[in-house]
Amino acid sequence: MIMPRLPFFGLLLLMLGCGAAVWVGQPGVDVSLDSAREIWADVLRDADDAGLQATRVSPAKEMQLGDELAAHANDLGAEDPAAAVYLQAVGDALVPHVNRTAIHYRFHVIQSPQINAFALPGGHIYVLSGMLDFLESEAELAAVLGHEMSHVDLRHCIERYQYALALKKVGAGSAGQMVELAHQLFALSYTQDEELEADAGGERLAIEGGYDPDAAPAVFARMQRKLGEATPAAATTPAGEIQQAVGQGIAAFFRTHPPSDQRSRQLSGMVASNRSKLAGRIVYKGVRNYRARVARSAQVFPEEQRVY
Amino acid sequence: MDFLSAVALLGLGAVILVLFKRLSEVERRLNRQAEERGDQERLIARLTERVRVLESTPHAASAELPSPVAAALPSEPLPPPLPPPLPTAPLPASPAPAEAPHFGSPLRACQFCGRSAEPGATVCVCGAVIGAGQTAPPPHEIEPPPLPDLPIPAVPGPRMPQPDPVFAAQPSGPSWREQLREKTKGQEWEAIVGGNWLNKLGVLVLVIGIALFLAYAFTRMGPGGRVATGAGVSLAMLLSGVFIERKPVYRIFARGLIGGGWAALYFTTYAMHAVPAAMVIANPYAATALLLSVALGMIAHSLKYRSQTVSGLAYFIAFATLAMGDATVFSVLALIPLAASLLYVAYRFDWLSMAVLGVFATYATCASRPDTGAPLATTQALFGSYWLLFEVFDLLRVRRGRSGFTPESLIFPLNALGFLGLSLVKWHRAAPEHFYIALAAGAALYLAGALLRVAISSVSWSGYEPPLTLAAALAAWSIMLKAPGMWINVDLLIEAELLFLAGVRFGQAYPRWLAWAVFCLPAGKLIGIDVAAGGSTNIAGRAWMAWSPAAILTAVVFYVNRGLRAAGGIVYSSAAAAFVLLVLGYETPREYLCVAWLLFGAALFGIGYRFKKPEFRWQSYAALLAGTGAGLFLNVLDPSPAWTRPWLPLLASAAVQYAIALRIRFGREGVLHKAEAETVPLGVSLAASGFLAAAVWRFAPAGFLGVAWMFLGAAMLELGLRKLPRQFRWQSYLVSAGGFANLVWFHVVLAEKGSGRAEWLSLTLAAVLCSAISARLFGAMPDRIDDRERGWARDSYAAAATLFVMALAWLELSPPLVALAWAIAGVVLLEIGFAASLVRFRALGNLVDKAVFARLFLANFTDFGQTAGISHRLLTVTPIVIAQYYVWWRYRRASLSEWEAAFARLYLYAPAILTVLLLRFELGRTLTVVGWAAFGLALYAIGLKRDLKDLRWQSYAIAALAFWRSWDTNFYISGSLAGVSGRILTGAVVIASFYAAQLLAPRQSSSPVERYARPYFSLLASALLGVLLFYEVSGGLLTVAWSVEALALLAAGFPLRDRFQRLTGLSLFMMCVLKLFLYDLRRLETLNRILSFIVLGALLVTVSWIYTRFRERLQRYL
Repeated sequence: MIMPRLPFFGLLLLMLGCGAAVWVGQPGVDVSLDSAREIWADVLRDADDAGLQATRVSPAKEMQLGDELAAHANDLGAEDPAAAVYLQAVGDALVPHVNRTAIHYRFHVIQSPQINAFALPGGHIYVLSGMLDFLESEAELAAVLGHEMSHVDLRHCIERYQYALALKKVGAGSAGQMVELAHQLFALSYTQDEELEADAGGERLAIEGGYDPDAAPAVFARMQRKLGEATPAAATTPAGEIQQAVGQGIAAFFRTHPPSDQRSRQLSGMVASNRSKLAGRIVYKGVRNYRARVARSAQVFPEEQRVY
Repeated sequence: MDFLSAVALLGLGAVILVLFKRLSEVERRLNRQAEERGDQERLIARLTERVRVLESTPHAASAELPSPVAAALPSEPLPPPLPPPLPTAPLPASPAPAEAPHFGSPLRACQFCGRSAEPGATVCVCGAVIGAGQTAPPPHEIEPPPLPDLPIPAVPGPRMPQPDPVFAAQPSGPSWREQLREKTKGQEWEAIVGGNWLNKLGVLVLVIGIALFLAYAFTRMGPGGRVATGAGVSLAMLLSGVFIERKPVYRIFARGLIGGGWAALYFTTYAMHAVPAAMVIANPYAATALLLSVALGMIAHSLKYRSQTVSGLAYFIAFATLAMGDATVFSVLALIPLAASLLYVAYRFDWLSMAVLGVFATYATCASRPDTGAPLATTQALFGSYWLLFEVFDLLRVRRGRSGFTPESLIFPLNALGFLGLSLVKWHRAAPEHFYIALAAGAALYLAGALLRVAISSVSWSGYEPPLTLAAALAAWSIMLKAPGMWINVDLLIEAELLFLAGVRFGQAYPRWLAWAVFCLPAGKLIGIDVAAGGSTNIAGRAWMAWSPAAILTAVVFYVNRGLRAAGGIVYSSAAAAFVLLVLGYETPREYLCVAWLLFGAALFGIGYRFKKPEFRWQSYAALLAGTGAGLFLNVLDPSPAWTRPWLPLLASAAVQYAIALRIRFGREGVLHKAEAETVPLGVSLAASGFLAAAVWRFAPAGFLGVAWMFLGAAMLELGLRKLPRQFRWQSYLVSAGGFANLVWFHVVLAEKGSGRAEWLSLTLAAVLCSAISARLFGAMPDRIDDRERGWARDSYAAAATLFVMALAWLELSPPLVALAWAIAGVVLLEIGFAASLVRFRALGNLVDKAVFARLFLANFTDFGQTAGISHRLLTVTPIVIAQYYVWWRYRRASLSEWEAAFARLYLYAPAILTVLLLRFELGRTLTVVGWAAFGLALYAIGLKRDLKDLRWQSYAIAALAFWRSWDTNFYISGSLAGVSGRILTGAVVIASFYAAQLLAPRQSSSPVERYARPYFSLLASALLGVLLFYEVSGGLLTVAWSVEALALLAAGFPLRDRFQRLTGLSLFMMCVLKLFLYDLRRLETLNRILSFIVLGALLVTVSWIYTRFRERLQRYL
């Protein structure tokens, strides 16, 4: 009786065993349609990438475009050159670890109370003074700068302008803005993925730069609290679960940035999954450096260092 | 004057009545004449036809004497001669014109109305005397009807185009209506109206005038003068009528005078005492005697004519004159001899219609008189005299044994109407408090009349019905007036019961029907009045409804009647049952009303079943229905919060219904009709099920109702399987469905995590129960349940159990584990489906698997948890993927229908999709290509080895996916993996897997598409390698790199005997040449440009040399 059913009982055993393993591992409680959204974003992105491959621009061209755009960035507010020096010093520690070495990164500080940072094609990284006020350590700053540098490194910034540039090249520049808008709408579904990729890339740059891996998750966790982003409670009914999943899925489709909670959890997971690789590394936090606006490259505080 | 007008109208009505009667007679006569004329016409036509045949027969005479018509016609061939005439009876030598046949003896015609009288009759139907010399015109004087237009037989002329025959209705002879219309335009009508009716009308007017004259207080003339004048005029009319009657011409007119004279004389005599203005006789007796003598004279004279019309007119006028006179005792007394004489004449000559007139006229005359204020007794005695007079006459009529409705049948109702109407009016005025006595007396009189009719009737038991009906009605009326309160019901019951018993005793149906009608009175009163009035009474220390004793008595009486007589007893037993239900309905507490009614219904059913009395069974069904309805509306839908044990009556009701079901189940066969045997067990068991379900509803604690119903359904199923009764089995499905719906709604759809033990406990119990029932139904039970039903029930319960298990898993497990738990359930179902060859179990398992598939997207692919470094995603999705492949394997081994085999292929695609997605989420967007490539290669290898086309097609798709992702994502984004360029590492793996697949791919394939699998993989690998080189090699050496790749492809293509690969290499060479001249020549740095040229050139030469040098050897590879 048992022997002919060995595969069946083996399968049951496997399933029960796997279930038990998950049980003891404190499984998550999130129920969402993120996976479906990601799959759909993959499909769109793969389709988009074909066009982007065909309209690639050289680093020189990208930096030229970046310079042109940066000329208009002053409209956002007055720059703080002194603070920019500190950012440049921290950013320079990350630059060696980028993939696209032909890009020349330049860092700017704009005086604005908003907690924000952004990047332009060609390596122009902007951090608003509100963000600087929000951060607490140099490692956190490195994570933010790494995130923005990754957008450039991963071509997220230049991709927005590639079709317009290509049209301009063939003499149809007037249609550029419309195409650009259409592309942004098309890319809306996967901009969150780009953010997550930039998070991961920024974390990698920060780690490669010798900064504390836990700084990035901490930034997003604090940002969630600061911005009052409430984590929706898990649904308690089947109908509520489906309703919540669908509702969040639709909302996520039109969202440019993932929730801070999700970003924090992803980074934490990333760190956790690479904990063995990171083990033994000397990481730097740099709270004092940050307060003093003195880069680690200029002065190292031993108490800010720790072995991971 | 009003009264005169009324009398005039009355007379006019009588005239019209006579007129219509005459018209009817005329019509009948015309019809008869038309029929006779039709006979004559048919005879004439037959004779004419014979003449035509004779004339058309060619004979010598006609041949010798050419017809001038024939001579004038062109000579054409004549039609063939007609066949010789059939032998017929000899005809008269001379075909004389159609002569009206002589029918019977010479007819005598009424000179007045023109009608023919029967031979020997001396009086026409119109009342006129036909004299001996008055005979109808001789037959030869009767104008014969016109001959039909028969075609003149002649020599056929030239043939003319004949119109198509039109099948129109041929004109037939004039109908009787047309004839009547024709007659009315003639003299006859005029004669009738002018000579007869106007005469009568004039006499009537004249007599009325005389009456008025006598009643008028004429100052110049005393009573004697008036009387003398009246008498003179009367006698003048009478005598002149008698005188001129001798002359036939004036006979009709004379009779009018005679009738009017008698009437006037009668009234004059009447006026001598009754009319103050003409009062010459003070003694009423003398006046009465005189009046009687006049009446007798009138009768005697009318007898001479033997004419009902004449006598009737005389009597009518006499009545009219009395009606017009002053209202005195004498005037009403005078009616007695008048009516008596009329009745005598009517009886003597069998003029019963005139008797009807007498009844009507007597009472109408009396009714027209105002109340003189005479004592009640006197008046009643007078009315009694009238009544007795006509009653005796009617009794005599009955004794003659006349049956069927005739005009004289109206005597009794008119007599009753007049007598009772006048009497009751008088009683009502004179002694209203004793009105009931009049009614009772009337009832007694009519009861006596009924008995007398029974006694004297020549036909057994006939004629008593009307008086008995009246007696019953009057008695009932009397009772209702006299008896107090509920005693009315009792007394009416007694009356009705007496009637019923009489009917039973004498074997007569009518009294029984009458009894039933009387029974309706107390019953109706009780239902319509007493119940609505309410009230209570104390009996035996208990408060009862005031009408309950009467209702119970009614029921008892009805049941007694039912016992006394079987035929027709169904009505009594049904009514009795209704009263019992009514009493129970009001006397039983609302909480237990359903029980009471159901118990009563059960008792009725028991009687009906035991004694095979269908009526009791049908009554029981009504009672059971009422009890069930009461239970539904009172105990189930609207129970009082004050009831301490609301479930108890429900359980009791269920027990009663169930007892009936068992009674039928274990009872004798053949007692119930077929429809009953099919319906009743179903109905009672259904009701029992409903009550049980309701009891459970009331009894079960909150949150456990659904599972309680499921348990109840299980118990009923088991009873049904044991046929206790079997209908329970079907109803168990309903109850279980209710429980299922409850559980689904409250514990699945609205299930809330952490809401308490009711949630999971209910689901657990329900799942276990459903599984147990499903298991119970696994084995065949041919003597208990047919396999089809068993299969559906088993599978349905299994489906329910599955749903509950899935809901339980959702409630109690973390989101990533839900899919895994569901998958286990699905696999178990499928395994059972395979092991027991149950296709619906497999379908159920498939459904669960589809739910698992969807669930993975909700909670598993994006889960970040891990155990011992292994992600929960991997730990949950992988076993599910394996399970899906296992299911496919099981499908493959099983013998399946075609559609299921096709469906099983999904189990090859679903895990492939899950694996691709798992790799995507597990490895990330870029690294996933490695997993995809390896997975695709594995699928291809297995697909080739196991000859599974689906796996191979999946590998093609996954290869395309990996190629695309590598090209536009991996190669686009540079990165490193473990120190190696991620692009190179992932690209190398993908390219290697493609080449491996190329090597695995067969060179030949039966599939027209799959024969290109080898070139497909080769092309993907080569292209991807080229792209990788494009990204990895700097611009200056790209041509060199591609050239090397081309050479490698070419070199590998020979030993591999892969022409496509070689062609790919050559193509790449050509691309390099083009690039060299189009791009490198202008763009590259000099060194690189040179290097490119050199290397490419060298390679091209080498290849060329190889092709040349080893031509013969290579030929084997080509």
